[in-house]
Amino acid sequence: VYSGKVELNRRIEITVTGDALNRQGAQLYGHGRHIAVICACAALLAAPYIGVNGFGLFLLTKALALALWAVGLDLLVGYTGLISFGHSAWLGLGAYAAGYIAREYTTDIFAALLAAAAVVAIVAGVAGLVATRVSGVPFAIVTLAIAATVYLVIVRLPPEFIGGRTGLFGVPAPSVFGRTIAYGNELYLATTALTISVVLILSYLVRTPFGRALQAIRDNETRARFIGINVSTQRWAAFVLSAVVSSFGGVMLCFLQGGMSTLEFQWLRSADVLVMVLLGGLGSLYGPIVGAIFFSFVFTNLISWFPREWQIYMGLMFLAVVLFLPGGFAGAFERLWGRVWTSP
Amino acid sequence: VRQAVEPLLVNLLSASVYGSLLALVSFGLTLVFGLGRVVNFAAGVFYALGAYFMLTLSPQTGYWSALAVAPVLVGLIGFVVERGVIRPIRSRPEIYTLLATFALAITLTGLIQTGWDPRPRLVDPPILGSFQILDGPFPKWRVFAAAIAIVSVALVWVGLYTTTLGLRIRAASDNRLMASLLGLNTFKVLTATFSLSCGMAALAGVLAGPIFSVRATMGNDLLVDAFLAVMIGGLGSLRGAVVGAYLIAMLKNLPVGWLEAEWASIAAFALVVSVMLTRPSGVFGEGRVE
Repeated sequence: VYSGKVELNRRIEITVTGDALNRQGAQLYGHGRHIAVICACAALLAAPYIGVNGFGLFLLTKALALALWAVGLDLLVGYTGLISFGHSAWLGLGAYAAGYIAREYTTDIFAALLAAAAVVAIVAGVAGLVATRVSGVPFAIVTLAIAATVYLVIVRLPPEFIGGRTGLFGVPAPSVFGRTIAYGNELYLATTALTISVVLILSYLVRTPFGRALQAIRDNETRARFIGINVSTQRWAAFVLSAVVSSFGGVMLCFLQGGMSTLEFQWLRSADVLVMVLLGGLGSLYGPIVGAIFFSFVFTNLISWFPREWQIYMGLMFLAVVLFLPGGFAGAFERLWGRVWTSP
Repeated sequence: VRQAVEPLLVNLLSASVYGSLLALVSFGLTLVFGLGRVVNFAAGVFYALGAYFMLTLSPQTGYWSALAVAPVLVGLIGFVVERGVIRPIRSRPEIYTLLATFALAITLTGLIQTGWDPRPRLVDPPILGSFQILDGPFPKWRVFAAAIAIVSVALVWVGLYTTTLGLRIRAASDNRLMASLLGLNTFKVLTATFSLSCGMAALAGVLAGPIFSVRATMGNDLLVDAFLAVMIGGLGSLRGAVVGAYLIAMLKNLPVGWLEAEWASIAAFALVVSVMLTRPSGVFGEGRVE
């Protein structure tokens, strides 16, 4: 009896110590996160000055533009629980709207972003009325249909207006307050700054009542309805917002390449952005950035190393993430990070 | 009148041929979805794989043996895939099966492009010659291929109502929990059904090989059409899959010559979206095998 008591006491003691450590760990964990975010942003912004240049810088700029595309999709897939197979449409529409404005009227980057946002908000607003009435697999198919329709219509537009079958080309470099942004470091910094600010705004947004409502819908639609959330309206808003964020990726990609070929937003490309989001981690806003960078670099290298069998490795990698790493890189990182700060 | 009717008649025939091949694929898709909520995005690659096995086998054994052997081989691959890829993620939301099979489709496409000559190939049909449709010729093989496809779908359908496996499939799709409580191993049933559906897609590929050119990506458009067909009919509905397949085939083939292919595709998408809006579970859909 006596020895049992001792053991009991010891166990309580251990629990208390563990708890105190955990609380301390949780604080460190929170502060550590902020420090990590600042370090990551600083590293991204400093990249051109610490040895990334030439083709590497081009790829990184492209990756950060694609990251915007992926972050937009993640808002829909990771936070609202709707798997879209049609986000290629918003990349293409954004790029075309911005490219057309830049070529014909003004190269101001804000005007381009505004034009892309306006065009995409209108098209996604109408398409969203249709798409958000279903969810699950039907939603995936309906969004695929929307993307295919947008692609086919753009391809059929008269070539002298915009591009036609080849794509939109001859887009000049963007400018900010009348000053032209040079290709290379400056365009990279502009893209990175845009991506970081969009992610910061979104990371605030997902903590607002609107963001919480989206996550509630994702976790349990019926319960969300019961507590008075207007599911279809919130879903529609998430759909449009997601499309607009994704279109910014198209804008930056269009400026970086001086245009966009129709192949880049062919509706099957929607799968690429889904891969980026899944690789990076669903439902984490920094995950898609990591996913997009990883995807761009691995994709480019795989094609140059294995011009014939790159699809095998690509598919196996994707398969491995789906099977063994459901949270993507971000999920694995969070687990590791939690263990580092909370284990005694 | 004759000049107006003839292209229409030929288009109608082509639509029936394509619809029959499509029905073979969409029937398998809807069967697997109704049974196990598995969305098989790799069906298009299994279709291509069937055509490539035929390409390799037919010089040695002749086309007709290849027609019998290739679907069995692909069915075996389907067995391995179900065990290795689908079963571990069955407990997750159904959309994960879509992502996993999609990843698998990328891998298998890469394997086809590495293992076989990546250039598109044209294959001679085993039955040469053509029928006379008014003034124009229509290849005999297309008619035969459509007939074989229809008979195969019919056989599987009859099998669902006459064989023990068919009974098990229907029981498990009707109520999986109840079926397993009654001692039915629903996992085994799903494995069998999944390999059956892969075999059906491969059979469509073997039949389509001599009609369209054989390419690693030959299944991509077909997969999208098959899914549209299944969505129209209702995921899980057998009748719906067949009706949907012919509807989509008509929409895509009838306007050939008058309308550009893009607008036909848009019309097909518009049809699917309007069905989704009025009847989200499809025209015949109840989400299970009837």
